[in-house]
Amino acid sequence: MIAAATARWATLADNDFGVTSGEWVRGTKSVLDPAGPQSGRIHQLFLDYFWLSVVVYVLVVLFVIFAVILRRRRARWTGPILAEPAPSREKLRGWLVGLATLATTIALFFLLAGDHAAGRAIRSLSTDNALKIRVTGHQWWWEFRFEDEAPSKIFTTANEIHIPVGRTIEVELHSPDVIHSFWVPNLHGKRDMIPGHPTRIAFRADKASEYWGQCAEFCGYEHAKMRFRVVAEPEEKFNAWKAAQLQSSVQPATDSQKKGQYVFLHTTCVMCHTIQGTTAGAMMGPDLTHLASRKTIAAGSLPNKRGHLAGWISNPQTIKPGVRMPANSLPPDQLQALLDYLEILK
Amino acid sequence: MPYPLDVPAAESSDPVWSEANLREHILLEQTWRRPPGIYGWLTATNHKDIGLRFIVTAFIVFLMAGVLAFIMRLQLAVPENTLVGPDLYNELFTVHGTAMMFLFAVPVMEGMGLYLVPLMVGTRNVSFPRLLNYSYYIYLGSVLLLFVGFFLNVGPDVGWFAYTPLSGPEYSSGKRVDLWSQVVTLAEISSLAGAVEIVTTVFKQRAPGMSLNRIPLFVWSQLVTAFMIIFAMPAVMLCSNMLSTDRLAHINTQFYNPAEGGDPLLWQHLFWFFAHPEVYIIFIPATGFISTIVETFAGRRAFGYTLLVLSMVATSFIGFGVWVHHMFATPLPQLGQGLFTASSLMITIPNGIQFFCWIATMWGGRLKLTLPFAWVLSFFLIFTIGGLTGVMLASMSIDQQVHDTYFVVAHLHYVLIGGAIFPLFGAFYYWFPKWTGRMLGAKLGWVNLALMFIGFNLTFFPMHTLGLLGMPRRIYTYFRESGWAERNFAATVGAGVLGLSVLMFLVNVLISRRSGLLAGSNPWGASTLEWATSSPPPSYNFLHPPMVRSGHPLWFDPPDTPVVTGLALEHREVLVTTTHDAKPHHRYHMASEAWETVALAVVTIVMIVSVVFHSLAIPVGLPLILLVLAIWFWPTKETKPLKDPNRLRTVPATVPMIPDPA
Amino acid sequence: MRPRPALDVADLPATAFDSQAPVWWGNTLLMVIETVTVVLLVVTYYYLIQDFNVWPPISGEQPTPRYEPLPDLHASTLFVGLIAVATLPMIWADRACRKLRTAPTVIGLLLALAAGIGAIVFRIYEFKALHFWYDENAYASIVWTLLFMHLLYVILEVAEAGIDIVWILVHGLDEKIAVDVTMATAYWYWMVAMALIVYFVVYWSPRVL
Repeated sequence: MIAAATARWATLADNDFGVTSGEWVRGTKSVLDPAGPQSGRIHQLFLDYFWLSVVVYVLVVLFVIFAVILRRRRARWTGPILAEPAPSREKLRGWLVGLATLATTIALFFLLAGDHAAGRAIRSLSTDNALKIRVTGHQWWWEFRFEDEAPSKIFTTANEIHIPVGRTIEVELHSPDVIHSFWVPNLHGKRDMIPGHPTRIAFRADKASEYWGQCAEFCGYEHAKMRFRVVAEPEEKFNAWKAAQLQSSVQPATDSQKKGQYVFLHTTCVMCHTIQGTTAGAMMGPDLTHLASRKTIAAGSLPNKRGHLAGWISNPQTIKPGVRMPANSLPPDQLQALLDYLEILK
Repeated sequence: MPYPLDVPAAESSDPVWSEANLREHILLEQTWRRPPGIYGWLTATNHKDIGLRFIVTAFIVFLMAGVLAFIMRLQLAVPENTLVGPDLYNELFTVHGTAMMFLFAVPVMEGMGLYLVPLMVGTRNVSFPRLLNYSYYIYLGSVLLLFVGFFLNVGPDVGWFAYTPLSGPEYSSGKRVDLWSQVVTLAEISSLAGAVEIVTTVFKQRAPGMSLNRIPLFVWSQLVTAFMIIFAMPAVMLCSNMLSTDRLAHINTQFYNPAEGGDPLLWQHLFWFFAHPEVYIIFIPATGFISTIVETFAGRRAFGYTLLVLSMVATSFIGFGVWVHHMFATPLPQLGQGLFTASSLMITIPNGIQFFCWIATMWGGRLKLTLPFAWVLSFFLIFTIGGLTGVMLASMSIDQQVHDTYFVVAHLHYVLIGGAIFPLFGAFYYWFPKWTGRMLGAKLGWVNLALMFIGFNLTFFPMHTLGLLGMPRRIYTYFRESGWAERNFAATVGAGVLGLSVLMFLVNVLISRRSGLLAGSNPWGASTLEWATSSPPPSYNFLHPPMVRSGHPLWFDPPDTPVVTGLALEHREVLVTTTHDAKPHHRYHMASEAWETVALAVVTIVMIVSVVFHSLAIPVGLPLILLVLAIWFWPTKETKPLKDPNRLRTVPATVPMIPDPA
Repeated sequence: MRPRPALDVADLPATAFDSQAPVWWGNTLLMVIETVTVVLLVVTYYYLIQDFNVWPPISGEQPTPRYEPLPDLHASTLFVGLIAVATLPMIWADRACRKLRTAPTVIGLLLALAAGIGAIVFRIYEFKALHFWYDENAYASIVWTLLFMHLLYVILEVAEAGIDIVWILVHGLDEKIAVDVTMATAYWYWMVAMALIVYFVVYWSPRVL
């Protein structure tokens, strides 16, 4: 029965996420479709609680409804008829109330034990050989730094990460501004990122797929548009991606691209963004070294298409009102050149 | 046992008064009624006037906050909607939450208590009438500050729990959050004053014979709630004032600033130490409504009176030990969090016992399916769902997934609307005849209930799944591909139905006030003392304060009600009884109306608001407050000495005092 | 209903002392509310310690910054001592007023009033003895708040005692004002208790911890 219900819940979730519009970026986001041991364990616990709740609910409602049906007085209203409950019946009711209380208490003990066991299981994930990622929540985007013992193998990206399937990921969570919350429902529960209280959680993806994550703690204006993507893929593909990310940025080849790079380095862009391999090294906004390798821009607000990128650069405030990025009124030729350049940053 | 015949049926219920009684009535009316004109209206100290003002004002807040909620639902009806932008949306949900929690739910429950408790314990007014007047104006100031601020675009926009550092000086510039913290301060001053009134009135002014084990369950619920307010509200006043001083440039303390050793988590601890008990401050009075209504329409005393009282007390105690379950996603030590899972699960036990007792009462009664009772039955169907999802949220592991998602939004509305609003509407239908002398229309009433039930479930049930599908709360929009559109649309339709049903209620009230059926003093044949006087009650409540010999005086006490005589007629005097067994102790001379209460309220509000704008507000305001307080408490000599043997008083005793009804 | 007069209360007294009086409950509940506030402030004080390496933190005083500048004891000890000793005249006034003896009541209140005003002066020196201005860090904010809140209680008590004295001198001592004097006394005990808590938390716990 529980398995059937799980399947039903899961298909429900799948159906909902099947409505991906042609242009949009695929990805799943559901508590009910776990893809790792943590989310799976929580899902299992949730189902236990859920079915127990269903039983309790049905019992309560039945008792109330039958009371109303069986003990109802149909006479016209002229004031209450005082019921004189027989003492023996009252005693029986006393026993039943006691019994129900006892049953509640026992059920709660099971629930407590279940929660305790689940909590232990979730925390028991071994972090040996884990992939370490330092996540920083900003208003309103995500910075990911892939840690490594060798400094040359550390790289930074934003709003989209790839992770290897089957390997533990340990994320270290930081926030320099307000409280955010790191949440990828298919992989693990959320964890708040509180300024001054760095913390870490570990999870693992067992299914190769693309998952959405989203900030889950209200963090101001664009809390709604603070999303990120997690692409879980086999180790080889991940290594290839990682190798690409470790590269410096692609240098412009055509004139237009060169002009675009010039525009980037001589307008406001350079004041906030980094592109490895150029003089742009500011840390205020997302690292754009491999911008074109990402499927979305503006923290999951838009697909990474040339048109959207152009709109985003020239007028981010209409797409994401309140965002820290200022409007850039570039002449059309400069904007096109800039787009040409950004599009090669694979 | 048939219903005692000599409690007259409706219409003819008002006792036929002798000439002496009529003289007493006129004198008492002169003594207790408020002074004429605007002065009297402003300075009113009668618990019925002020109680109703609390209820009506809170209901207007409920309507306004409901409209804000509906605008939010319209925004979320379709994905990527642009009806309102993030700025306004953030204000909408913050003002909605703040208004509903601080300015509707708590004040409306206190208003019900202030109106009903003195009647139920059989006295003439609450213990501190002037404080009552003051507390209403402070509350009104709080309401005006929030909504005027909202219309002037200085409404708060950081969520009703205003987490630092987002609400701190660095990330919320402008005056929005400053005004919010003053709204909270004012609202809590008012609630605390109301709580002091209720505790004192219940402890000291009960009818002779109403020992602790005969206090009506509703009065118990108000008493327990008042104590919870006294222990919980200081926390939110403190933390919001600390936020205020952190933010104000001319003070600039560092409580929540991590750069200077402050701690954002400190805010969360202090806030939730208040805000979880807050839920029970709203819910426990509702259990009082339920117990009362179930008793009346089952026609029997509640099964397990002692159990019900102890459950309320236990809930209130445990309620202070569960606040960390709002912080399960924060990096707190696991062991501590596990303990809070245990305590959060444990609070199910007393609440379960209450449920079992109500069900047992129904099984042992002769149920009459009236409108107030039908609202209570809907409570059973709805609140149980909220309670069960609450059990899920108590689990640390599950909470990590559903925390701060629409699952929580669904849960809290099932608990608060199911657990408080449905019983409250039942209470409105139940006590409206007492307030106005007329019944609320039954036909419109049933439509109101049906629409509310359907609209509520259509709005909030889909939110459970929305949360599980990953929709976080407090987002002003969502993307088409997220797959949340259908459920959100359904919720918006449901919100419309819900709004329609509230409109229905308003229409019903407006019609019934003028042309509803005449109620008489005790239309429901209920057992508690508020039904022993006319509807609406006279300014002095009872011609002769009653004495009681059971917990249900109008059912089980002998028909020739023993009453108290000898209280003064020409000044406001009530009988004070002992705390435990309610034996007569002394006569207490109550203060009458005074302009100082209004003046003090105005000075308090002006000072608290101007703190936000000027550094001189406190140095000027505090001495001013002390000055008004000094004038207020400057005692004037009584016009007639209290010991004057010739003073007028109610008819002296003709029969000896009845033995202690133990 | 047929009312049957059964209890004549005309001869009951018109005032009562202590827990039988509604005013006592009002007063006590307000003290409970303020006690909760003080307790939460104390909890905040200890909670904040975890965010500091040294407590109290280093102060940037000129010319040389001070490491762990413990708050000075002089002014605070005088403050606590003064209001604690002034409990005696308050007890005296309390006892006298219950017997409606005017002179000792007024003298007791006057002595307490003088002590209260003196204490307010000492409290102002206490702020100086903290070595921090309130906006410097979270430690400074919390100790200032603790002392400031308690200062408000003292001012309120002094004002109440003052009103009682003037009232008795103008109208004479009757039972109603006697009840007020007993309220003021209860409030004084509470104020001293809170002063001791604040004193030990702010001045002694950093020395002991």
